Amino acid sequence: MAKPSLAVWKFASCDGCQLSLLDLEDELLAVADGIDIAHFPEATTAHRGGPYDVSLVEGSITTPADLTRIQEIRAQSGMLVAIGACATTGGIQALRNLADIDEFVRVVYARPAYIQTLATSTAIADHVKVDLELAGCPINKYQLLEVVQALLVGRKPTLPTYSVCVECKERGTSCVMVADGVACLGPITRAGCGAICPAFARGCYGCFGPSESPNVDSLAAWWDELGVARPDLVRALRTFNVNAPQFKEASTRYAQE
Amino acid sequence: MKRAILAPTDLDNLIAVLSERGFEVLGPTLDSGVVTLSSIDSTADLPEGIRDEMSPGRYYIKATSDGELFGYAVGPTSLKPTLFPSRRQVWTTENTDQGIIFRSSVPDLRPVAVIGARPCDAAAMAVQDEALLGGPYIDTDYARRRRDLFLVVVNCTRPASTCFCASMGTGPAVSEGFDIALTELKLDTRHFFVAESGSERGQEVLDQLGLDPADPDDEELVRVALEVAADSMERTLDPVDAYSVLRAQPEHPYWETIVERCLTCANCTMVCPTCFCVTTEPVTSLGDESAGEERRWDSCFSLDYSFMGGSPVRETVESRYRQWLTHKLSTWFDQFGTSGCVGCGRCITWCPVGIDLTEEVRHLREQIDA
Repeated sequence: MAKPSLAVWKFASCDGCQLSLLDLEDELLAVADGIDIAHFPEATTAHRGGPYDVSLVEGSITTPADLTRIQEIRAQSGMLVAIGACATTGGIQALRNLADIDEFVRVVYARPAYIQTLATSTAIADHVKVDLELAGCPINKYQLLEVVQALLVGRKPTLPTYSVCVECKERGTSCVMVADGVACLGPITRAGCGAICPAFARGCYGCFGPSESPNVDSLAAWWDELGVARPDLVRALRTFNVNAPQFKEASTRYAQE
Repeated sequence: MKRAILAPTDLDNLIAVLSERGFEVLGPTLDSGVVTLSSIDSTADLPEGIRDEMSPGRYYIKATSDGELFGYAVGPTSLKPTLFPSRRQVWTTENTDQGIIFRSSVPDLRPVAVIGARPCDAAAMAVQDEALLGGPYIDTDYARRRRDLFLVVVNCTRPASTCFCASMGTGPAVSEGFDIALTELKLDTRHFFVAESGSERGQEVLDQLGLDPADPDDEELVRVALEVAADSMERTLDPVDAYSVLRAQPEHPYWETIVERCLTCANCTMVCPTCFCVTTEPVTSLGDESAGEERRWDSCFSLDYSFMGGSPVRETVESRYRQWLTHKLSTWFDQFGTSGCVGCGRCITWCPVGIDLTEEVRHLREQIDA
């Protein structure tokens, strides 16, 4: 049986998520053995044309050129996996969605006329059909490995959508919010990172985006009691997943209060 | 059983004796600002003088200089992670010339002795025994860990404000399921424990320590201390009333009010010492083509938990909260003959937004009566 071919694509992003593939140091040889890496500019200049069995797509759609390129990628991909907060919700650059893009362009670039950009930064799934999404800024490399392993044997990958709290309890981390009064987005954030930040006594900052049924208002009311000012709450919800519908809706409401 | 007096130095001997008998000894320790359960070598590892104060959604540690070794109530860690680990491998496969071979995963385990479990923890263990060992299908991993467990319970003389074991009939004194029970007494001039055995091997270990018998005055001090502890509990839950009130009106509009607060984060079920729901996840590897299955704690608050026929059966927040509370306090009786709640109060303390099940049951009762 021929090895499935893999292509890795980049849109507006920092490359951190696709580098997770190379960061799989112990497993990299087995990965390379199991799949045929046909297009992955971060790793090799060798390139083979499509179609590809699997495409990993990193980054968000921010330019008119992106709009056509993502359609081309979709057309030559069997399975399309969006990886990371940029590709799944629009990323931190989706902060532009709340502001005037023309003003940004005028302030940042000496010759704004050369800049062709969209007013918004949006997720891959807003433009084409996405078969699977890996959340996170960055993604968890073991979730990526899980996807590769599952694909190779034809099973459904295990990708949790419940809250980060489950992972804290699983690893025996005591709750930073209950025990230390630290504001934490864990109860409304999707698991998958392994609950890294609370293990270092930090509150979760929501880089995996909303969990399957986030109750943002209830957590916000509790943050009020912890003494977090509403503008700080709004900022906490407006980071890597600012454009995720539940975070966007709630933060917009709180900002208008 | 005859009661004996155990000095703090005898407690060190107890740890040593259990260690010599091959047990890994676990006890309460202070870690990252909470009292938890981990390996101990001596009483020096115990959280001396530490108090815990709890309220819905909040947990505080306070240091005192009174030298009590068990002067707190309960931290987030029950016996559950020890007897029923949050994640474990169930089976693995290996590809051979003869085909695929399946192997049960049987970890190499050292028997565990726990010093300082609470009466509610022992009661919760009995509840889990019924669920995991009581029917025709036995959880063999739990059975093994349970069989090897040596349990030293320390009765509660300082319950937290979130505790309600007295009303559930599970504390503050332990009644069964222990090898040794201790009650700590710290008077102006004396600091000691009154010990009793709850099993033959418990008695054996006590005999090995060569303790003096307790006199009637000391036994009276224990009785009074535990009576004061029982009376000091602010929260109550009537398990018999909860049984009927929760099943009375599953469609009552009250359930919708929970939507405003419940995060569906699953913390309550994770810290609950009796919650035993699990799911299994397939594991495959890239290189050697081996495969296996892992079991991990699941929760009735996760959508996947009720995923059947293409969608979750309990999609709404209220349906998930109702499932948890109704099973815990009502249908558990039908299934296992007891309440699923032991009154430890962990779900109240460790709910990130402080939802208090004793309050919820009271509100539901009031609304139904109104």
